[in-house]
Amino acid sequence: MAGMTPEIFRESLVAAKNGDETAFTMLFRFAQPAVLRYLRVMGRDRAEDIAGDTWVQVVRGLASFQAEEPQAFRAWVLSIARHRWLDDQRARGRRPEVIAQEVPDQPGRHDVAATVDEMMSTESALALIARLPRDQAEVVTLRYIADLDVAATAATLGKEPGAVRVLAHRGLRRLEKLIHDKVPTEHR
Amino acid sequence: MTDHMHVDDPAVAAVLAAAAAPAEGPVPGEAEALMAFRSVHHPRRRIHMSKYSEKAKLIAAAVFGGVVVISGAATAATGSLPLVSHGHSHPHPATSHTPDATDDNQGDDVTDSTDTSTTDSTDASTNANNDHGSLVSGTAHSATGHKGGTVCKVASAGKCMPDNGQSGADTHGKAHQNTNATTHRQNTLTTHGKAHQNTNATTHRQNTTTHGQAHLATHGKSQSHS
Repeated sequence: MAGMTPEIFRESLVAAKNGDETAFTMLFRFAQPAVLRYLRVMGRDRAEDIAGDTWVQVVRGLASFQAEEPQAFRAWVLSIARHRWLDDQRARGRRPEVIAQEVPDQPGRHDVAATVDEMMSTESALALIARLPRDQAEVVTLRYIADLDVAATAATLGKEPGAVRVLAHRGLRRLEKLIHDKVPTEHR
Repeated sequence: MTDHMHVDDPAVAAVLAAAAAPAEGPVPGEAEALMAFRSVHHPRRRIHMSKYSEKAKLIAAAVFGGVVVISGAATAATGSLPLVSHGHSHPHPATSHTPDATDDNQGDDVTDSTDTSTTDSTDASTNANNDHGSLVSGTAHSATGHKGGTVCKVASAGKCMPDNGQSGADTHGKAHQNTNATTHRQNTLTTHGKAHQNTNATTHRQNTTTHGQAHLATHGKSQSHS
């Protein structure tokens, strides 16, 4: 997700609007990892399908999109992804699934952080975050994985910045508890 | 992360770092996204051609169908084709059957007379004339001696004045020469068709041919007598 400076972003955006596939690919590679991780936390097994729908809409709206910063583009794509996920939830008529027992049970030998470093892959970390309450998981994902600031996160979720901060704080506390519940005390 | 909240717990930081780790390998969904991008910015020409071709085919089919219907109706109206719905064939214009020096195609005449007899036999309006034909045919079968004169007299309702010294062909020619044109015109239109149109011919050979056709059309077996 790194390497996209504002200058490169602006050039890529203009070129993509003119039909340059290489420029569009750069924008895609800049935003898609965060989109997929957000959707894996929120949408789980439907992540890639919803991501595909997201990019169809991104392509259609690209000509009218205006931004100077790459983070704004990522926030815009994530906002579209969120709406597609909500649409998908409504279409499937179900609530977000609760993930259970997906954190590896093997304890580390030294300390919790080292143990987590050893056993955590990206997927298992996302699965752990997905165990949080939905609004907390969403804020934590957008803030710490998609790397949006508070204002962009608040705009994406349609919430006040203060509410985003509270949800992020509660989410981190809950995540800490989940991790320590999984790692036995004697191995600390 | 301009205003990132500080994460105190190293385990939580590790989980977040793992969740945000840079992706390795190709990013899933790139091909699909590029396809969507191309569909907007580089629509395939073939797709438009296909749609255009489909429209063109429909238009061409409609035009062709219209031309076929109109030309068919026009052809039928001019008499080149029979109007099946009327149940009988159009009477041929008299000019087309006016005998001339080149009208010597007996095969064509035979065909026409056959058609005439076929259609006339189903026409109720010609019953009286058919009876007349049956009468003439019966006379031809039963007559003895000079059949030509007898048949001529019966066929022309007594107007024929046969000359015993003439041949059958001559007799027939004379009979037709003496025939009231108006009467035979009516018969032509109703029962004898082309055969009696040829009655107006001036040469004996044509009359002979004509009369042979008349036998084909109305007398059947009587042809052997002509």
